[in-house]
Amino acid sequence: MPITLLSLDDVQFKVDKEVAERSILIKNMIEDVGESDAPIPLPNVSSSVLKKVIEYCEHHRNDPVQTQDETDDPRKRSNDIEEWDMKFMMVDQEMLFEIILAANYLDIKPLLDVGCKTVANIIKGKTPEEIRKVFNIVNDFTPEEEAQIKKENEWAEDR
Amino acid sequence: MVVTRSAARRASLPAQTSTQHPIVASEDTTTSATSQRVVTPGTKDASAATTLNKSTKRLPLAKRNSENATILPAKRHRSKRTSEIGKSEGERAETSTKKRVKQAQKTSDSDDGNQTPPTKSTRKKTKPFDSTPEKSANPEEKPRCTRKGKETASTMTQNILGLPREMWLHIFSFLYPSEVTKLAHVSKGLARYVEELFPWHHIHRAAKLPTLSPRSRKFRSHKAMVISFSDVVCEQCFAFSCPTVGHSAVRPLPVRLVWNDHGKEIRLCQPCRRAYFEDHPDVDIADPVKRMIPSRDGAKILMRDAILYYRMPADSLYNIPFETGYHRQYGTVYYLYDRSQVADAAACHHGGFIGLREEFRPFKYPHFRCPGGTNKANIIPHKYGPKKIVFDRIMKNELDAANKRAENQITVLLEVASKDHAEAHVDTGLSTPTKLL
Repeated sequence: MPITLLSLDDVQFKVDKEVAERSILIKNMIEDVGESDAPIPLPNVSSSVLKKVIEYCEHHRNDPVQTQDETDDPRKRSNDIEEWDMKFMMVDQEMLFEIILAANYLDIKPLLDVGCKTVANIIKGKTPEEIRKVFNIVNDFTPEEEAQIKKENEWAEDR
Repeated sequence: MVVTRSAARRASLPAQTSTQHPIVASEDTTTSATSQRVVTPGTKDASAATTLNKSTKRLPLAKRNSENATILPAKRHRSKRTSEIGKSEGERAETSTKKRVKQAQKTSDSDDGNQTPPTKSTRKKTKPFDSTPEKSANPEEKPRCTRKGKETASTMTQNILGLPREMWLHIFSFLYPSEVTKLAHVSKGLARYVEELFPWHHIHRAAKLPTLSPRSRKFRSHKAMVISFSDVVCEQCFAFSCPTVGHSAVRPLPVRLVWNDHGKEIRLCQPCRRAYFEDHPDVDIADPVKRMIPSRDGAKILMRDAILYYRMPADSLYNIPFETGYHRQYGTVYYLYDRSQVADAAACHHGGFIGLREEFRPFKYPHFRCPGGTNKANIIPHKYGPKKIVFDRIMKNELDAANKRAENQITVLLEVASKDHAEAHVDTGLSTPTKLL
């Protein structure tokens, strides 16, 4: 039975129940409310983002539910992004952040992980100057403050 | 009259603070809090407006953000807006932090632009799943929030700084501490996130660092302490491994990890390095550059250099056959090791040559320094061995075993040499096994 999702700007998406239940939020809601034809409003997700999220869920509809492996160091796993996911995440930054926020809101753990890994991989191996350029961040330090913060945050490799 | 900036800030004298550079931003939470409470559109006088405009011109991003107005801070300001705001407080607000001023600008803009009452959006947030969602009157206003709903308020997350705190926590979990500290150099907001969100206290506890007592003024926070110990804390397991004399092998060494190919080297302690190399064996372990063996064959190395460059504990060096030599000028006795053998032993000990080359640094420990310089030309090998050397730390049988092993090795090498006419092999082996005792 298809489920209708209503995005922020009143665009309706019809998806299978299986696909929609990738999102823990929607899954819980369906369990609570029961089956009904009424569209599910998602007031935090715009239509473009929702389209993208649904695309992800369609692709991963048959994935097994992730078993939480808390003992494993997440930093070790920062690089094992699937190829499809990598291509999926090749969007402009604004979209990337929107996807991360939507994944957080809809409670889709794997998508959230992939998004945060992508951001972490962008950050890795870049100098602060490069990070500023990539993310369009303004340097709001005064020179003294910058010197101070550099002194405070200096890991051993830079010494 | 010399007044330091912090003192002036603490005193919050309008006359002195107004002479400061306008960009100077204070981290003092109390003043910023007051200013936040105080700054409302009502108090915005002409001069304040000009400074605000200037600041927004300098920051095109902030301007962009201010167009897409924030909602939640507006609500907070509105509820706090009261009539008792005095002139002096307004002045203090004018000289307050740039960041707060920016925020104030945002709020004022939002108050001018969007007429939708903020209470409506909050109601919507608390009950996001009404059966019939009411369409907001203003299409520009998109209340975007997380479940907690206090961090993000901008309509579009254009900047990485717009991500809420939980997301940053999640992103930090994929980063090593050395990468996170680099992130703090980027901007103030990120620096605060790094200070607050990264689990520094966890590292502090895992590394068993000394307690952060309020009496000691040396370290301000867990972060400061961890960073000051950063060269002896492993970044993977956060174990503390202090190098003692002759045991620098346990020291964390920089390693380029397979799963971290975007990033730089990460400092790993010896157990982590070994575990890593069991999973990811070194492909080119025989590479002479990696083994730090110079092109000259049969290179000898001093014991001290073997400890320093190959990070070998002195105990395991005693198992390797060595020659003795003395200083030409001073007569000091030295142990001369075969460089390739030391490299082999180091590879066994560390699991590959990871990090050794990167750590190729001259002296750190002054007590290793020997008189008259350590120019190897000054060190002459003994022809027949020294007459008397006190081997108080060397087991005799260990030495015999080492000698026997060396003999075996040399016979093998000689066989190889006779086959392959490789003279270099003859040179690398110890041509005459020295009987030291």
